[in-house]
Amino acid sequence: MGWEKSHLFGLVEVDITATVDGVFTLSVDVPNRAITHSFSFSIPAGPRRPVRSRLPGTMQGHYTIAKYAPGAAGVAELYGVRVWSRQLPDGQWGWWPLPVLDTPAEYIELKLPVEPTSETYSELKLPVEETPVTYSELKLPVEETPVTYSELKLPVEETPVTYSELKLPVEPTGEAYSELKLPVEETPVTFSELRLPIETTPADYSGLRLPIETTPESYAEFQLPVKPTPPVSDWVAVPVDE
Amino acid sequence: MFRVVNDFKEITIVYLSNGPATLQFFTDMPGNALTARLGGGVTIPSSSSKRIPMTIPLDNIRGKEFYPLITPGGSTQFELYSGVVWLRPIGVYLDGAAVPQGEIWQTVPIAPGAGGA
Repeated sequence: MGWEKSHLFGLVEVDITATVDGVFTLSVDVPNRAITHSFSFSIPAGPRRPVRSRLPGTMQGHYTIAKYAPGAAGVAELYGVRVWSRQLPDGQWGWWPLPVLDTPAEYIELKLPVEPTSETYSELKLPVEETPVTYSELKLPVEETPVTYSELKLPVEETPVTYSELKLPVEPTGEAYSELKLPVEETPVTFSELRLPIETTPADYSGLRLPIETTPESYAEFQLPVKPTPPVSDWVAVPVDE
Repeated sequence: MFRVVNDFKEITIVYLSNGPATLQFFTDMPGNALTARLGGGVTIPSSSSKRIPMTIPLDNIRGKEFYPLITPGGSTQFELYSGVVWLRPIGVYLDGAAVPQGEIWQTVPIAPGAGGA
């Protein structure tokens, strides 16, 4: 098993593309038997290429942890990491790949969900209702007249058997007396001026025509009130006593 | 659920139209919002009422989610018969701006020669 032997690490190579600088760190468990001894180096932003770094001669151990962190403002795509190492004390140097999830070299086809169009035409019956060959009976919606008479209640309101209380609209008499203001106009505290209806005497005199009838220029006939004499009747014989 | 980041290469459609249309390709990267990645879109010319294929490159477009959008012109009748997107999932894609402190790649403790591809 791998952990029985210690390994010496010489190089690390990273196949990467990044839009920002990142830091690669390799840690080993020698010394101290804890995976704390580490070596870091910066990988600058750039297109896909292998970035290789030499490791210090002290990098050896039974276990290793590799770590890569891109800068905060960018992204990175990691295609592979491998370490140049050899088993101590007498192993041969060789590349040892670290487990990086594989990115396929080939593109794969992803069919879009487009409904297939048929090559041939299919028959589609139009939804036309078939006309029957024979006539069918159709009952007319005439309401049937019943043979017997049926009772029909007239809408007369039923007279109740008992008397019900009906409150007359008499306003209740209050228990206590309430104040009622009489409509007496209030006498004002101060005197107010009241003008008497005396016509103002004008300062100048005005003409006033007296009602004297105008004397005409010529004389007018005036009929005296003489009673006409009645016409004399024939003499009348009057019997005289002898 | 973990979703891989895809590297898009191209989209091929088979269509028939009597006028121009526009193809747009939306993905959620960068920015985590589905956004148009082909600028103002790619014009799909009239096929003169014949069924023809057309391939549109999608170079340097990444995304976990995507959808294509075809918009026919005002008086265009467009018939889409098939569509294929070519893509490849990227094994390790690290977003340094991911919340809260960016994504990293890290192995478990492994013994040399005992693991790896």
